[in-house]
Amino acid sequence: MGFNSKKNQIMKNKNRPLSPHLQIYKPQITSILSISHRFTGVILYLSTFLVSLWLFCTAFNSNLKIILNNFLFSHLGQVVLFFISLSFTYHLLNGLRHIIWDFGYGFNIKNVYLTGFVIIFLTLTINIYIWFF
Amino acid sequence: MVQFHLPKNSKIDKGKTHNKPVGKRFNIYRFNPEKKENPKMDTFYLDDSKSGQMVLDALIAIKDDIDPSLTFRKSCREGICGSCSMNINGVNTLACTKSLKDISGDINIYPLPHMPVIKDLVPDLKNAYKQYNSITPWLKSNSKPRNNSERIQSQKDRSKLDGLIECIMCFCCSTSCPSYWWNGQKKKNDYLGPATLLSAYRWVMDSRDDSTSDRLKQLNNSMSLFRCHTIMNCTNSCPKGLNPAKAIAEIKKKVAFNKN
Amino acid sequence: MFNFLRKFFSFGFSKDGLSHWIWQRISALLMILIFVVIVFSFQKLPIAFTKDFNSWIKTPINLILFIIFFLVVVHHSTLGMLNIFEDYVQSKKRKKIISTLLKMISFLLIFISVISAWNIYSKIV
Ligand code: HEM
Repeated sequence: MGFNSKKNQIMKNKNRPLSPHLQIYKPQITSILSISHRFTGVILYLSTFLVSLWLFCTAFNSNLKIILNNFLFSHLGQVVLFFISLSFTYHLLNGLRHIIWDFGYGFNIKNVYLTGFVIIFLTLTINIYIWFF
Repeated sequence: MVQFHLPKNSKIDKGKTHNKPVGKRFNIYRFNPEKKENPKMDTFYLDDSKSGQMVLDALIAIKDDIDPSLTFRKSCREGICGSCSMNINGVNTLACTKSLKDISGDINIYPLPHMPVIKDLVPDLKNAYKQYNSITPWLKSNSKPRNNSERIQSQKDRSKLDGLIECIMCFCCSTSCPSYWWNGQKKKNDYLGPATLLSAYRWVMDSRDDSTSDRLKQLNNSMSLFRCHTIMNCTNSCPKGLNPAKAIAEIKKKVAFNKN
Repeated sequence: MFNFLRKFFSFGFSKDGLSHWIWQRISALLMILIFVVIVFSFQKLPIAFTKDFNSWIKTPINLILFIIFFLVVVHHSTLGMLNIFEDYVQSKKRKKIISTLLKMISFLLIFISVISAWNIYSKIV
């Protein structure tokens, strides 16, 4: 087949570099909202530990409960709760968006961007309303 | 664990500037397999009068006038062959249909993301073709065509293939998908990626094909299809304006409702 | 019992990718439903949540609602976490270890929360 040995060597080069990916790909509404869904999912998973702990203290250990409640009503605790509620709102709304997609609707790019902005807007509005009014 | 950063041999070094800074600046990914060097970013300048209309014209001008060793795939230069797919300013697209007018500032050109690089902007697509082959992209029918002529399809059935058969297999979509980056190149049982799944759907939808349920069964495992998380980078990058994400969603629906 | 254990430990990692995906959606829809019901039955939600919760859960329906909600949340989030590890972890062995660990944690969460909720419910205040 007319391959000279040098060319063959190049074609077989196992040391091929991997082209850059995360490092260079432009962040877009599509990918950012998707990774946020994952990120908020993990935050919510971790906060189920907090819920369990809170229930446990409420039921069995009133001393611990006082400590926990003091923490939750401190500035830091309020910030933590704020981010949990932000995560929950976002995850719920984007989850709905996912389910609408799964039924086959809303797939053209215009709608993807539109619904994306709508849920960002709703998430912020709902949380500002809950926490500041 | 998946590697989010580049392996040692793939880290990008600073390259050289090839000519005087006049006109638009092009930063282009270079890799030479004959040298034992890491990839690097070279800089070229092109005057507007020389660069032509499209990014591909500019690449050809650079190759002709400045550095003949610059390597990239090209053929039809009108968006139908799918050869010149690459990452231009962070988004995968065809160099031949990306207008220079749409880009303000520097133009950064990389090969398709997360692919083994053969040389400069030429990625190794062997694995992608292997995956394409794995979905048996040909008609499988139990019956012989009547009168030994072509297989007839109603206009309605034919129209179900619109938006699917236009795919030119440039792999812009697959290589824009983070899920494909992490799970597309495993030794066995990998995520097939949007381009291949769009084709799979094209055969699932073909009224003349009799192996729909086998095709669906083949996709129903944790990797091939279900690593799609509807990220939508695929649809966002498709230079032909197709919608692989929707095709994948339709396959999932079919897998869900056509069980057995 | 052995069969049950095997089922339990292979849950979410079956060869069939569909059931995992479907259950993620079903649990998501269920959660929305129950969440809406809970919010409506909790009219004064953010005000004195701690006190309200104790009296809210004293109704049998609410207790059951809460327990179901928690079960669905844990189910959904365990499936979700398994999915994430399926994406990012390559080695089969490590996947197995992680999934077993995740399921044990989920079991523990359910155990603690259900017992506690029951305790709050049956406590006379
Ligand atoms: C109440 C409304 C909720 C809805 C509608 C919802 C919806 C969804 C959907 C549709 C997915 C699948 C995403 C995908 O396939 O990529 C998902 C993933 C996930 N959810 Fe939820 N969810 C909700 C609440 C929760 C809660 C309360 C938790 C945690 C305690 C949670 C944790 C997760 C996790 C960890 C994932 C995996 C993320 C991923 O795979 O990227 N979700 N959710």
